Amino acid sequence: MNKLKKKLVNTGSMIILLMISLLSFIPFYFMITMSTHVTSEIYQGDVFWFGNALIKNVKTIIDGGFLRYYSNSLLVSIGSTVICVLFSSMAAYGLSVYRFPLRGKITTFIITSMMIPAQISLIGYSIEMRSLHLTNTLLPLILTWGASAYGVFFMIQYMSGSIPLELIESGRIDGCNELRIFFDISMPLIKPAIGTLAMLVYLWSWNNFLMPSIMLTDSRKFTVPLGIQTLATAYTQDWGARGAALTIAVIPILMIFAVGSKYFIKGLSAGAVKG
Amino acid sequence: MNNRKLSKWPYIFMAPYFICFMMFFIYPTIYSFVISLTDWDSLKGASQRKFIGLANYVRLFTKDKLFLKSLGNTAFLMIIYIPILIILGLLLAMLLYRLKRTSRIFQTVNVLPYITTPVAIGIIFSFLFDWSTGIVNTALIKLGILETGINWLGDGGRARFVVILLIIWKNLGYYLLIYLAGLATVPEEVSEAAMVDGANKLQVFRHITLPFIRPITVFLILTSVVSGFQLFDEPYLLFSNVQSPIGGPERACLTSMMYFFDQTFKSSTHLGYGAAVSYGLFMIILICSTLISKVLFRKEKGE
Repeated sequence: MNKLKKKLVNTGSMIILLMISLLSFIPFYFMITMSTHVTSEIYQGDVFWFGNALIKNVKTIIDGGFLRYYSNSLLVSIGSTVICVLFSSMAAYGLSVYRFPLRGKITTFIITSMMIPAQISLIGYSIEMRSLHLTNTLLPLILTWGASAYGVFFMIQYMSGSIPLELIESGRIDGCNELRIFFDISMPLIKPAIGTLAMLVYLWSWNNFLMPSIMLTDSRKFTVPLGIQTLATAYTQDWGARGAALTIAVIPILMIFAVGSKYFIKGLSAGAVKG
Repeated sequence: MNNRKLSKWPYIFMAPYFICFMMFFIYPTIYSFVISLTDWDSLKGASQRKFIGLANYVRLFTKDKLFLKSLGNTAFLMIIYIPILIILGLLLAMLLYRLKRTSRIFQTVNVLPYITTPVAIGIIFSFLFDWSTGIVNTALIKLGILETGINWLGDGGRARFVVILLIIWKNLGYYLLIYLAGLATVPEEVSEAAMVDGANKLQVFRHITLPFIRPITVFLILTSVVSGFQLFDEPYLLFSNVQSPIGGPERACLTSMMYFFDQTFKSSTHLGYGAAVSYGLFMIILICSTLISKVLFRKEKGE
């Protein structure tokens, strides 16, 4: 009897979870079906199943310059990821492996600065970039990631338990210099943290909309989110093309996520459970 | 022995980050504040800049009805969606926690909306809820629930409903994830011991599970309020297809960030005033999060 009840409860929760997951997925489904139809079909409410206009729609958005947005976004995301992961792990390493006078104060300062929303610096940053003649280049979108307080915080959290000081000491005795100890001994030990942070930064910088829409006015420099917006306004009447643009913009992120979901999920919940 | 030789190394390791931190975060943050004390239209050069003290802030908090409205809008949205997300997220996490084997797939599927480009979500929803072509209307008509489509995005109240739905859809997976990680920290022996002592499931939930995951709830509420005040991409794009002023019909969905963006870079170019908007918003965020953490932590002490 008790077993039966348990089975019923389990099946019940399974059904609820399946329904919620379905709801999570439905908008994506319509995004994809939309990209396979021509607009007149969409107006007739014909989007519940796939059509055969996918190639035509993809051609429309490629003619609209989507490939360029794509390569810009790739450059920005990869650049941001590299600079953020490298600079944050170096800084976190300096702060957790060495003992020096201002160590505690600097750490607190960086972590406190996480509370300040990035938007506050936006106006000052845009003028700074203008006077450095960097507007309408991709650099402003990348440089800001070299200053990510979250990156340092995340790395400090991970390093505090996973780099044994004895190992570093023995490296020194063997005559390695500090840079080699960092790159050859310490970096391999923090690989999982590097992977997680890299994925998070890649995602955030790929999705960023506000910063590029302030820094970029030249459409040849647009990133994917700006490109989606541009295409959405340019093809107001072409729902099929808009669907294709969305699909192509979203799919790679979803695929990266599906592959690395284990690290992603860990990264997303890291701050909450420890804090 | 080699302490002196080592003493320069922490600074070398921190240098690249620190140079960036100072140049691209601290300096622009302070610079923005200085700008907020001036009257400066970015269309005119920096030479036209006039120092006007706190006048921008006075105008912002006493005369600017639209800013106050945007704060009210944002607060209204949060008061509705945060409790729903907390409750639904916790319930789903508890359901999912029991099904250990299939957990990963559900987590992955439900986090998809959270990681999707917000701009894309705004546009997807503008399509789902479009008056003439939208899926929602088409489906409701085909099912015979409606005779003619509802103009979802054409009315302030209904537009708010769509925004709330969008936010819940987007964030539920994240709440689920965080609560799931939190539930894993509740020691099973404690709840089992309570069951042996004759407590029922509801009592275990109220007196053991809830207190254990309380820090997580506090964390979620605080971060939601902070990020809620910065809500921008999705509502901004949601109305990209509708003929309406920024913020949708009756400006019912004008969030504070949208107002900041519009004031500084779109419909007006007053950098000084825009900077004051961003700092004003920051002050509001600080006050709210301090108040909330005070209330939540006091309760904890009282128990």
